[in-house]
Amino acid sequence: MHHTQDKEFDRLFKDRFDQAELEPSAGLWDKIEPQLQPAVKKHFPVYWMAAALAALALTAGLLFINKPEKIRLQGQQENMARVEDKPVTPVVNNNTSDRTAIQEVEISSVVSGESDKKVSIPVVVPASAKKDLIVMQPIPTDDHLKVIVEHVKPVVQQSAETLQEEGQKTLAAAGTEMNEPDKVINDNEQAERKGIRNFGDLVNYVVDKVDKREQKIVRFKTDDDDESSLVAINIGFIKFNPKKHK
Amino acid sequence: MQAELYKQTASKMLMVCMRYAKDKMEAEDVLQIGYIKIFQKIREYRGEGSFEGWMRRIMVHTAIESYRKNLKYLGHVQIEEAFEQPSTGFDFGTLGMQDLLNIIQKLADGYRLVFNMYAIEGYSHKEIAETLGISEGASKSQLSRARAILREEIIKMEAINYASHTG
Repeated sequence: MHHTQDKEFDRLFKDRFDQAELEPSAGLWDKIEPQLQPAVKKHFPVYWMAAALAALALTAGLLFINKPEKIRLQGQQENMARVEDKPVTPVVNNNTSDRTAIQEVEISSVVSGESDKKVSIPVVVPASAKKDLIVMQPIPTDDHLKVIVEHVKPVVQQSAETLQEEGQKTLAAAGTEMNEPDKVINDNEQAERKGIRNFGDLVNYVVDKVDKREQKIVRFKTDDDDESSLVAINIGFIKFNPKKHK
Repeated sequence: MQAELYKQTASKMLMVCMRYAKDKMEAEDVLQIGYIKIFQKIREYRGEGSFEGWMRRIMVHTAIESYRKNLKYLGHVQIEEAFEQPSTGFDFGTLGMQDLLNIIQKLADGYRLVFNMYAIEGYSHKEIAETLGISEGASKSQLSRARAILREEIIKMEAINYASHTG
């Protein structure tokens, strides 16, 4: 009995309130609106950010992995460099490890162009100087090449004839390979692509497809010996491009 | 879009909040938080039941949250068995919605919450007990006490109304 009375009692309230309305104060919406998330209003480039982060992560990994290989790279460029310096009297050398240093110096003359004359006379570098060069390899800037030249200045010449023979053999062998690597280096990061040979090429290719801007979101310098190095990043507010074109 | 939804529903939602609050100021505070939640969760609405019903539930939960902290001792208080009124011949005829609202708002927080949830929202004692963190027994005794107080208040108010009409 009580139960049905209670139900009835409750229903009287419910019926009164069901359709009831009360107008809120005029300024209430103005308090609510600023607290709403702006997510819907502005389209945030989520995919862009994801792509940029992925590229950065891969880049970091790549740079880390590649470091030890730099020395091998120099060994291969040696051929090209020697060809450039044709008129030069080859170097006297009594020690094979010193030769590596010479080759690096010659490369520097190729890349930086203007320093050609300074290094046109092949040189032998003392072992200590050579050490410095290797340490500096991972920084691929023109500056460091000039520094190398300075290091190299104090030259020792020894047993010119033996090295000359050796050098010319190398020249002959290298003759065919001379043009291509040279172009890749001189064209800087704008180098034309001849297929995808390494990771840097792959990233550049994908980024080209996606990013139509002049300065890509991430850009690798690639060359023929499976070597890639990051040369430019452009993620809107973050730009990194040490080799800006003049 | 958001402003439009607010404009069309706010007056109904404010009424929901009013039943749980002590006055309009508190009700509008709850309304404000409730709408922010609605817009945050709007993607979670799966089309089950009416959209208005979904909004109401969010408002009710927001209101409960803001008053629940006042209930912490509710479960411990031994509430004397509600004094049973002879409830025959109960007539709301002269009382409007605003009168009933005033009476509800005068209830203590615990009574008000339980009565609203049970009598108007249609929650079971089990659901109320879980939501408020009290026992089912406490929920039942709160409800019957709330009803008793409401009856008393209604009788008083009708008497006043009667006096003013005939006086």
